[in-house]
Amino acid sequence: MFSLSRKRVLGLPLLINQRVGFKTQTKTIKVYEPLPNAHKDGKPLMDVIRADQYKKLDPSGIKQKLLDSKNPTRLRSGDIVRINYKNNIKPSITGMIIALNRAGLESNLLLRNQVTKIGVELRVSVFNPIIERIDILRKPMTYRPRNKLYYIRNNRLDVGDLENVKGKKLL
Amino acid sequence: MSNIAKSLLRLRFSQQGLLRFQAQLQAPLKQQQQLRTKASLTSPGAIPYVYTETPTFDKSPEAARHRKRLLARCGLIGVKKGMVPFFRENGDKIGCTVLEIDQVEVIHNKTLDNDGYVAQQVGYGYKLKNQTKQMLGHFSKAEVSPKEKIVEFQIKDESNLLPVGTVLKPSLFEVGKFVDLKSVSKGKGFAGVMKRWHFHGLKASHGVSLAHRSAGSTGQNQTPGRVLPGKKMAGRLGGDNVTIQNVEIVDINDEKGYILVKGPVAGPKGSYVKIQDAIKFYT
Repeated sequence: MFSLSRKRVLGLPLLINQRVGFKTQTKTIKVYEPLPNAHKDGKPLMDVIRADQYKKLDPSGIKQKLLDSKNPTRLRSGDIVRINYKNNIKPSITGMIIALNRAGLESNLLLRNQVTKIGVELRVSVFNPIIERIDILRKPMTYRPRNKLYYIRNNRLDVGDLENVKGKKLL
Repeated sequence: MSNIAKSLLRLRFSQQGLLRFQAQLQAPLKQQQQLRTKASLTSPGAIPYVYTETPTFDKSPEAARHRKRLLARCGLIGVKKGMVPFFRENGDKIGCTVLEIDQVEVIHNKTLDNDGYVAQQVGYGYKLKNQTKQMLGHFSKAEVSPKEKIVEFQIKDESNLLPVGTVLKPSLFEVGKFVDLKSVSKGKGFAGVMKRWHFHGLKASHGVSLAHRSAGSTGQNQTPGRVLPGKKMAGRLGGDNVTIQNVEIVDINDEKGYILVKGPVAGPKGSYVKIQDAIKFYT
């Protein structure tokens, strides 16, 4: 919880000329060394925390690769994906990505599906530790010219029932 | 019964005073004990004066100290660094503020005899530039390095004062416990009533001219003929001392020196935050 600090004087003590009556006296003030710095390797704290969290939440780096813009098989809006949860905490979810929000550890997907002909949307945090993996079921032949596909809602472009999507239809 | 009436009664019929008076009478009574055969009451007229206790005044600093809900121990100083997400075991995501705890040491202890109140002076960080000679002497007396920020934590009892030079670490607090966070909010400058007090403003059309964000009327006509005090108007917004109570501690790291607290904290990044046990839980 707490401990006594080390007592080491920093380099040269500070010399101060002090007037006492008509004389000038030299007085020394000891200046103590700062405590040894925390194990951050000179990096800003926020970078250290983010790196730690990536290591904890995504040790294999697979989820980071899914969001990497240089990866050709990355997640894109228009892909149909299935979210599988650890130990079947929740049933797996299938849906089309209609929006992908790249925000570091808070990155999330907006999935759209139809259940009994009713449009259903769900926002999923990619780095949530209860998500075991994200399977890409199908990639479209051609992508729509927008990254946010909000305009497909409730019109002829809308997604159908994606529960039984099978086979990969890659680019 | 009011306090004044109580103190008056205490003055007149103080039981302790009477007892003391009787004790004073004991000495002469002992001499007359042989003559006395019956128990007798001393007549009130024979009592020349009565000792009374000096009442404690409500306005005294001592009484004020007793009225305060003071905590048993001191807290920490942190620096707001930013926000990160945190995932709980059940998959809940919460936004957390990162408070850096760096080189927090006890500099000075204030005692009841010296200062009239009990407090612990705690310093944060390391800064040698532009320190005054007086402050350098203060730090060297405590045998700690020069600090960039100093705060005081008033506490209840002198027995809980930590020795000078103690290094305080984030594990002073525990995960799952609750704290109060004090900091200075972001200054917004001179703000209008819509931003400062959430007024609705005037209409966008229907003859309103160049007054769409105005406050409108500020009072009545000849009676009272003035604007009443406390009227909400435009003025300085932000830059206030803000306390956020009962904030949950989500994560603690001694090695890297930080605390994660649930939710936002007032003030910009880099502002100092006083972290104390939650007053509503621990007093």
